[in-house]
Amino acid sequence: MRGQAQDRVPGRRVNGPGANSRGHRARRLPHTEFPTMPLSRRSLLKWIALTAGGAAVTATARLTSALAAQGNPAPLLWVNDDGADLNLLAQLGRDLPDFLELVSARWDVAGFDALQGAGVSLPVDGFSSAPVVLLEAIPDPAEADLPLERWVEQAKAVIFLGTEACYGGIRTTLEDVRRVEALCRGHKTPFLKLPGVPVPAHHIVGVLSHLEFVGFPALDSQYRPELYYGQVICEHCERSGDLEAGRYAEFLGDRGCLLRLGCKGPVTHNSCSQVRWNGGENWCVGAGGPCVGCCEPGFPDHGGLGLYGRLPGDRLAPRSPLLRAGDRLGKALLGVTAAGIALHQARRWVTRREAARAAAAAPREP
Amino acid sequence: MAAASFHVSRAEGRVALAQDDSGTIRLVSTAPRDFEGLLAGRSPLEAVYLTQQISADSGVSHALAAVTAWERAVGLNPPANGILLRDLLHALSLLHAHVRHFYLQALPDYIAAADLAAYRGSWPELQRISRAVAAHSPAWAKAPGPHPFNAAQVDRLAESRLRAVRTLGVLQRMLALLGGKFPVAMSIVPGGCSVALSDALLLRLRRYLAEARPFLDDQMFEDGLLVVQHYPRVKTLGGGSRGLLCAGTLGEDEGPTQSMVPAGAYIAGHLESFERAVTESIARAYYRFPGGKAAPRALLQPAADKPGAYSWIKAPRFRGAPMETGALARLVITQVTGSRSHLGSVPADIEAALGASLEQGNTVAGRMLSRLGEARLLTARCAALLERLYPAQPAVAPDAAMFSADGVGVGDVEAPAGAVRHRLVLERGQIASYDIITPSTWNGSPSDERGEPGPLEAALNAGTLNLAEREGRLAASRIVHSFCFSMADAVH
Repeated sequence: MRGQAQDRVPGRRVNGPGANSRGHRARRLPHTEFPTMPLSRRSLLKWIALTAGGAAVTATARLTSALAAQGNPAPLLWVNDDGADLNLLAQLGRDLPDFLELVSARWDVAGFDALQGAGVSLPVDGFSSAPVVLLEAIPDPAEADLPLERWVEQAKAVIFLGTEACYGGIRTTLEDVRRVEALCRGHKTPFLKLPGVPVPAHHIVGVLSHLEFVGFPALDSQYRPELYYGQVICEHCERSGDLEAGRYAEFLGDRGCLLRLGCKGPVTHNSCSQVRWNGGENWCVGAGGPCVGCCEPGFPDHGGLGLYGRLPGDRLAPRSPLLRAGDRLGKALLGVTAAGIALHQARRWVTRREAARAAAAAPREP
Repeated sequence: MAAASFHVSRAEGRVALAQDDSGTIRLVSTAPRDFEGLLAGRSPLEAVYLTQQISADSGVSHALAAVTAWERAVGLNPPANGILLRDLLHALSLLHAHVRHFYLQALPDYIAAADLAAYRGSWPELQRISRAVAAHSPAWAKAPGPHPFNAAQVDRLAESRLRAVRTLGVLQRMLALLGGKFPVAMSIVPGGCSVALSDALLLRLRRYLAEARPFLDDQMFEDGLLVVQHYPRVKTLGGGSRGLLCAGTLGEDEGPTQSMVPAGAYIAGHLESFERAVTESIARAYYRFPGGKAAPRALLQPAADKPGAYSWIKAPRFRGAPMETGALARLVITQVTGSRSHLGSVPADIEAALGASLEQGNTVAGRMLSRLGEARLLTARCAALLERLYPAQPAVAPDAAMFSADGVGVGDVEAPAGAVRHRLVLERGQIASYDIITPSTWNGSPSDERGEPGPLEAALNAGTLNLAEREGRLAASRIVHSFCFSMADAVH
């Protein structure tokens, strides 16, 4: 998938002649590349998968204005019960007169904050066609006006939005997530997950477009679309040159690769280094913040490492060919981490047992 | 009066109100999320990141409170550039919250989105929306309501809302340039700000600010005035609280003359210092101390079956009194401390619209106009901050010792909805205990031992609202939105 995408757009190779020593930024597609309707499947896919920053905004504008003129709007249910509406808020960042148009005209959105009247609750039945359900928070089964099962039953697809809804966290437990997954399987409703704190806006609009025009996207083992989560973030990181040269940041705010400050880049699958947040303006590493792996199932503990715990195996990093096989390295590192933690636990267990044994064997004070 | 309940839309978290047979309205809180418990045993660096998830609008404020508390605990002072960059990030996040709150959360209480879609002006984007809505009316467009605006005013508000959404986009770009992404900023680090400062960055920020400024300076406040003129009742709706409290913010460390908003508590015409006189009452909240009364707060246990309790929100009190916090409190306290030169005509404009003094402005109209007036001050502040950054100077003063230090620190910051306080106890660089007081906890607090309700409940019960009627529900919704109340923030 990734290889194909690279072949389609010349000049987007990560390594090779003409490579910038400071690493690569995502290639910005010229605005003219996006045609007006009717869209070819190929150019649509290109937009969904590849564009970053300004081009994506222009593309959205053209797509929305072209689509707003035709057809009945697709119903979309945005369930945001008892949640910090991080993902909702992040949506406004795509220069969004177009998003306003998207939510008001192209999609028949229920539950979108800005359009919700006072005291209006979410619709339960009577959708014009099968809705797409966006779950930003998992509603409590006790809430009578949030009948999740009824929605899942009717839905065309269910999208889990944000790390909290995808893997559980502070206000959602993993059991809640499993319950909804089981519900989806029971009703044969396909579901996918868009983790992130927040989800890059482009992912949401892109996946919805993909659902509407291309079909259900291919998923990885964590139910994430491979389109966006098929690469580790180091792959297009502007500091990957520093990693290859072995220039590491010594403290927060320093220049250089952030790996030794606990950056989870090598094990984090996302395209945020390419797509970026808020209209494609910037991303965590761009502002000097180490990646905290916010779209991985282990977030925020990462199996005991913590948000800023250093990945084991950072000594491998300067040998850059390993990084080029970023995905494999990521999995290997995860394995190393897991093994390290297991070893640590085992050692602690043995120490404890020995201590207990020693305590039992020691002669007692009279 | 019959018992009724009402779910307030367009507020973060699940905000519900319940009215009992005697007519008393109370907030129905959701279960606590216990960020404080989650943070125990972690590194304070994780607190800077994780507390940003408490609430989307006040994320940057929480990060600043967390990092300030940590820096105070270990005695670290960031360089000037670091403080200025953080201030800029903070001012922009406040601006973003004000714009989003007025146009996307409060305005639909006064004119429904369905009515704004009946646009007849000349903007092509809005014409496309109204054509599409007329062609296949989506669910949200099926609920128009009565409103007092004429066609020209409806068109103006629709255009303003579109400009507001565009402005939010510009502000988010600025916030992302400084913080990596928005609403969770990644560049707030101990010892300063980790963003690489350059002339190019400053030029881009200046360009973006110039783009957003005409709307923020002129249009927003005018739209607020339009709403208040057409709904004169909001000038008296939602009063009832007395004390105002402000944690102080933006350039505080440069001395009181430089600070944009000084800290203080204003009760019955007296200004008092806001220091350590803050307590939290759990008389009517679902918590109890194991064993006796006097125990450290960290030992608080949830007790869903506690008799007499009705809320998961704790009740912070200043010398035993409930306090209102927010943009109104910031303006009033800035005015009475005498540092009013930078306020310009904002207090006078608000007082002219209210027909009352700012100190009596604790009404729906007063809170709304204070927020919009503050937006004007914040844009001026952002422009001034941009002029004071020097790319040649460092923005971070790293200190490796702070990752293994002991200490106690308090960070006070103003979030869009009001005062935030983080207090942490460090042991060998790890968090031993963590306390957070949020603005929505101040405003949405339940009754205390003396039976005094928090400001939001006092405001809801000041008039005679009937939640069983549409008019009463609308008024309640207006009051809740005037406090920028967020349930997610309150039960953090």
